[in-house]
Amino acid sequence: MNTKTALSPKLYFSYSQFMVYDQSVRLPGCAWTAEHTAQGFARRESTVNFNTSLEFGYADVAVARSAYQGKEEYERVIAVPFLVTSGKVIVEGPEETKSERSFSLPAGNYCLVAAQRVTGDEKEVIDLFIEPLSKPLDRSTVLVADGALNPPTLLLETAGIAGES
Amino acid sequence: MTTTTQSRWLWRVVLWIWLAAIGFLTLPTFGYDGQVQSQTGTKVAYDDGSLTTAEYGGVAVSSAQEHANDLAGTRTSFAVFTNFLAAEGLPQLEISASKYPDLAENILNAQQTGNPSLPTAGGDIAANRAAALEGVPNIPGLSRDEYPFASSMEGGQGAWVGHIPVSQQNAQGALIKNFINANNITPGMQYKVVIVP
Repeated sequence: MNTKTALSPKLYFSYSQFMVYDQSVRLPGCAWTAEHTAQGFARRESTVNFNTSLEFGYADVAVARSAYQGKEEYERVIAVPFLVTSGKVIVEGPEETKSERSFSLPAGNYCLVAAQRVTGDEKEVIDLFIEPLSKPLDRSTVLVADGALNPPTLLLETAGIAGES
Repeated sequence: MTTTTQSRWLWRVVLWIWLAAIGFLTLPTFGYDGQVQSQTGTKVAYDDGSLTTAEYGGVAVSSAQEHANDLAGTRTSFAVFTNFLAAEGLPQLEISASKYPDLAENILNAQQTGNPSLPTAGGDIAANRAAALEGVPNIPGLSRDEYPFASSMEGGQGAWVGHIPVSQQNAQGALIKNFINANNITPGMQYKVVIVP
């Protein structure tokens, strides 16, 4: 299925990030370090915190249950391994308090790709591509890096839970 | 006979008042184990050289050791005392000064200049952020950080704004998300923001 499904309502991202996580994850926030910020994401097995190009604003979010399909207009594209266990995936900004923006997905391993572009002052488009895999993806990849990213050769594949020592 | 009875009651009342006064003077020390020594302007000095908890609404207090040596020194302002009582039992968002020094300093500075350490969830986030950041320039490599949080009812125009590294701003966003989820924070709920070592 290659069609994209728009998620509503619009996502309010802030603190230069948004989160994609399995509903079973109670604390989706990752303990960001300078290295995570340089690569544009911090992740654990079933949660990913993606940096946004803008500090804050609203984003139109759409999901395609398919492999990533590149477009020239994407300014930042990152692929990560992602494990779904609950059957439901949530997409949220850090300050949002209701989990209304979600989509269903069978339990299993996936390659999750977040493709972003800035469309205006405090506006972004975020397209998520999620492709089922028979086994976990080996490594994350920064497919397209904008000027704000400076990813290391070997990306950090782990992060602590924010607020836990 | 009547005079003797009146005299006894008078002394009892005096004793009660004296005991109540002593109790009031010492109560605020029950929960305090911090090390903040003094404040000058927007800076804080610490009695052991390390950054530590300051959860009394930005009002200077003496160290725990000094309390033990100087009974008069235990007396904190009534506002601090009531703030202490109000904070009891509230969910606590902790910011680590060792992990996020610039973020911690910014929040501490904001609290010391009169911004609340007990904000209330449920602010108009986008409107508050726009009002708080209006006219505050961007600095390359840094992120504008406002306090009280835009997500709080106290946020918005007049909020304290500092510039901190983007990675610490990222970390703060993740901390806030986990704090919201862990404590089921909903609009109208008050919580405590503290800086911890």
